[in-house]
Amino acid sequence: MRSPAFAIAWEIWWRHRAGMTLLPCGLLLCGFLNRTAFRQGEWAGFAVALSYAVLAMAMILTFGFFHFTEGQRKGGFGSYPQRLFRMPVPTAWLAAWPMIYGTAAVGVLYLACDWLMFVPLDRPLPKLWPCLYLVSGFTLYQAILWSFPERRYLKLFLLTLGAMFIAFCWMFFLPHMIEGTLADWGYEGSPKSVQRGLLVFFAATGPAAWGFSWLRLRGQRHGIAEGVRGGAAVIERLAEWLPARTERFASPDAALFWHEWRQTGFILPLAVAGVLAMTCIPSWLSGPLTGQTTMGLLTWMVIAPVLLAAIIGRGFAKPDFWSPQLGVPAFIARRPVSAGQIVFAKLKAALCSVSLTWGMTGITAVVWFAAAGDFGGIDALLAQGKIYYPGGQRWLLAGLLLAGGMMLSWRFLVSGLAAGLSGAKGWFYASNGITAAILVGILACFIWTGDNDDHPIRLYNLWPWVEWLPAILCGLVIAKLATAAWAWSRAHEAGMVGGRGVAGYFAAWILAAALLALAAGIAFPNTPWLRNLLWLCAALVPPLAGPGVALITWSANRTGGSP
Amino acid sequence: MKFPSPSSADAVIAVTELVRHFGRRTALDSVSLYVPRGCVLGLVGQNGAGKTTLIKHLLGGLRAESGTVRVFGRDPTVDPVGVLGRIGCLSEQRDLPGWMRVGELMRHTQAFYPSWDEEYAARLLQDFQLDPGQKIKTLSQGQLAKTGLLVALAYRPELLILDEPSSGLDPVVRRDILEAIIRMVSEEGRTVLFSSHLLDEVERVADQIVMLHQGRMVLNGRTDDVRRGHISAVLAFDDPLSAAPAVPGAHAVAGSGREWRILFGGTRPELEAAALSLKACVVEERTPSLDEILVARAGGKGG
Amino acid sequence: MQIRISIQEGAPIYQQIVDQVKYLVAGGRLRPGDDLLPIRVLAEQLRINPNTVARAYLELEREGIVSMRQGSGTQIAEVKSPLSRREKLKRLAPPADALLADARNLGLEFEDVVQLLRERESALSPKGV
Repeated sequence: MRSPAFAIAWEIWWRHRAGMTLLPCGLLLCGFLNRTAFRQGEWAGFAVALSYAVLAMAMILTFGFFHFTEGQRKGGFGSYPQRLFRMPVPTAWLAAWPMIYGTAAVGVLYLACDWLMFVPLDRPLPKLWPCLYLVSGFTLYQAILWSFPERRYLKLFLLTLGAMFIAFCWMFFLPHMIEGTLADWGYEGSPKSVQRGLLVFFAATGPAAWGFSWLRLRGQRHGIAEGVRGGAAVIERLAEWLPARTERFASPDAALFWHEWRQTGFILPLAVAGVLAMTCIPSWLSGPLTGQTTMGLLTWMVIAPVLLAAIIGRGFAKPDFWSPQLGVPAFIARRPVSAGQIVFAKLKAALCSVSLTWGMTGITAVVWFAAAGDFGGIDALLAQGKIYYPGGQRWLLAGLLLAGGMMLSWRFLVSGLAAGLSGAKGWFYASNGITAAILVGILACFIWTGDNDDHPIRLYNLWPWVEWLPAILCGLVIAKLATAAWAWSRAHEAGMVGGRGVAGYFAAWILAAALLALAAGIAFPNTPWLRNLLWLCAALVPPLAGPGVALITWSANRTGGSP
Repeated sequence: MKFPSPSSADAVIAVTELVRHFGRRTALDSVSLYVPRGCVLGLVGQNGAGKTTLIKHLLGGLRAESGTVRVFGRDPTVDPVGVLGRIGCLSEQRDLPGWMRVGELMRHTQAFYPSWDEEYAARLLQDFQLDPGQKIKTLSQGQLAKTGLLVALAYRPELLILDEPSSGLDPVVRRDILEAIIRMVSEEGRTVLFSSHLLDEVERVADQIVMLHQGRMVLNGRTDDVRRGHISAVLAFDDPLSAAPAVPGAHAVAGSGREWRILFGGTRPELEAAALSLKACVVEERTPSLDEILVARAGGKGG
Repeated sequence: MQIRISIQEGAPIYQQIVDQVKYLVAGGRLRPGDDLLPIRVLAEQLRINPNTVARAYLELEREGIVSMRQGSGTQIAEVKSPLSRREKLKRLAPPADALLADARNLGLEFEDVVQLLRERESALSPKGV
């Protein structure tokens, strides 16, 4: 260790050496494929979308490698490693080196992806503004993580705000978007000046984030009272201010549910609240909106809980949301409860979390729409809807879609239970990876459909085996039902669950799937193949296999953990 | 006081030939243990000797690779609900959730154990001087240990398992904890198993001592017998020795020249016989402390 | 009733309790009819296993120093030991042997031992008795 810079670099490398060697290999592979197989014909367009998806995933991974935090006992999912404060290194450098490495890595990754994957497809990416944009995003991310060591709810809230900000800013650099949006807002000047202003802003964010982190780290290192304590403490106390429970619990299940709810129940509503705040307040302040924008934002408000549920569901699956450990907390394992009671408590807490979230979203959407939405524009769209779905059908469809959204949220929240409760890191990361890949894949599909208007035809030409899709889905449904049957029957034999609980759970979800199927039937009465596909997808939605397998894995984890 | 026999039907804990490996490391090597009702068993040994692993087996946290583990006659991994309802335990990690208040933790624990005694819990709360409205993450180490002990004792479990109850605590808190444990021991039929590094605590409280060393049980007997079964003696030889003599039956040999101090496991006549066989005489002898016995048996220099 | 135990000493804990009670009785600090602390209370006070205290009390009862009664606890026995003088002297022989052996090993003379016994005797009896 010749210098602190080298030591920090080595630490980052060593901690994630597996990922950091695999990532470039993966990128090289994609680049190779783009150069050879996907170069011509129908594949090229699709390959572009896929490359975007790979870029997004690689960026997420890089953020994860370089964020340079370590968990603490008393709370917060990671802050600056406290042990480094004892080193004879000035705080400014302690803050600067990880940021420098991180931003360098992000920039290099972007340029490398561009050169490897997009240039062979004759779609080179713009260079300057995305680099600045990503760099500023990374420094903001790191600054938020470092600056609020024990205030985990505040951190979550700010990260959600920041993520939303980042997610939408890039739209200002797309030519067709920016002109339309600026016209909406009544801005008279030229788009170029706005873009230049944003570039300067991004460039300034880096040093500003570094400066802020430096101050906060200095405060942590020397125990100096922080200036922003008031505001942060209020948010934190709001999140944790709940009256102490003084009555007795009616049963062990009630106690387990209360514990799960208090521990993890507020996370999804809080994250969604952050997203809603970021969506509603600026759009309300910016003046009258068009019908298109209103519809778009309403759609986003409905999608956000589902998306966030998928992300937060990864942490929800862990025995303890805030710690990176996967082992069973001994506090729970020592209680005389069966695996079934614990899993059902988690399911119930997830259900309450989702209900609260959707209730909040519904009220916010209604209030916002009344205050800021464009009735005229919506009317036009609704008139279109009347043509497709006469009578009361469109309201029924809307209601079913909302219910479907709620079900999807719940499903995503509990989907990772089997992996998280198993205690096996490999399975957990693999499961996370698959979910992330699916989400990014859907994102890629959206981008791709946005790019190509004749996508149905291209899709059909692209995949000669799209005819096999129903068969694949059928297979998945059968596998799911078989796994569910095996897992639940085994759990029932071992005495982990009662027959009534299982029957009730299954009945509820079969009803839910039936509602989704009904929605599909109403939505596409004239295209039977699409409707059937959607029916199969509806059959895949209910989390029947997941919790069943979770029971097995948890009881195995309970009795087979490592020292 | 009745004492254990392997087939004792009264055994609250019955471990037979328990083996456990973690990778290539042997954590437990054919450990057998029987704890009858009403016994206080002290588990001692170095860090990493296997104490926590053994305790995890008793709580159903690990499944036996080979051998059997029975608590109250049942396998804790097969029937966790039945077994754990009768056990109170304090883990070394003190892994109570930080956001809960002390009172909430008590209510939460009460929901799982129908035998929770409200009055006893209130009395313990007062004796331990804990504030029910205080959040667990703001408690000091000592208060944390006391809270953990409170919720383990309050439902009057038949078996109390404590993993290093006094580790890292100041003497005042240690006294309080020891007193609470003794008070519980005075009641009928309560069995206690605790592991500790503080040997004077073990000697005060334990009826039976078990020592684990590198996964094997090297000592198992009544507390009094353990001490009286060892002698710390000084052997004087006629000629100075250049290397430590191999004394049969000694667990540790140290010294130089003509006098060597040994820790001998056996009776006085055996010691004299051993000294005679080496042509040495015993010039000093006393009963060793538990500390010396355990260090000697763990370190094993010579013999 | 003030009893102190020390873990580091060679003697087992119950033996220390027995010896101390005997010492207190011999020195007049515990008189016949006085109550000994109940087993649980003494165990909590000394922070030792109640079984150890029970064993000490049983030993004391066996030697006739205390009597244990249901319901009224443990008391110092009224009557002296019913042993004959010869038996009592036989009881004292082993501690005497040990004392003399130690003295010899330490190189002390018999006169020194007698002097020591006189000093200890005067310390044992309270002043004025």
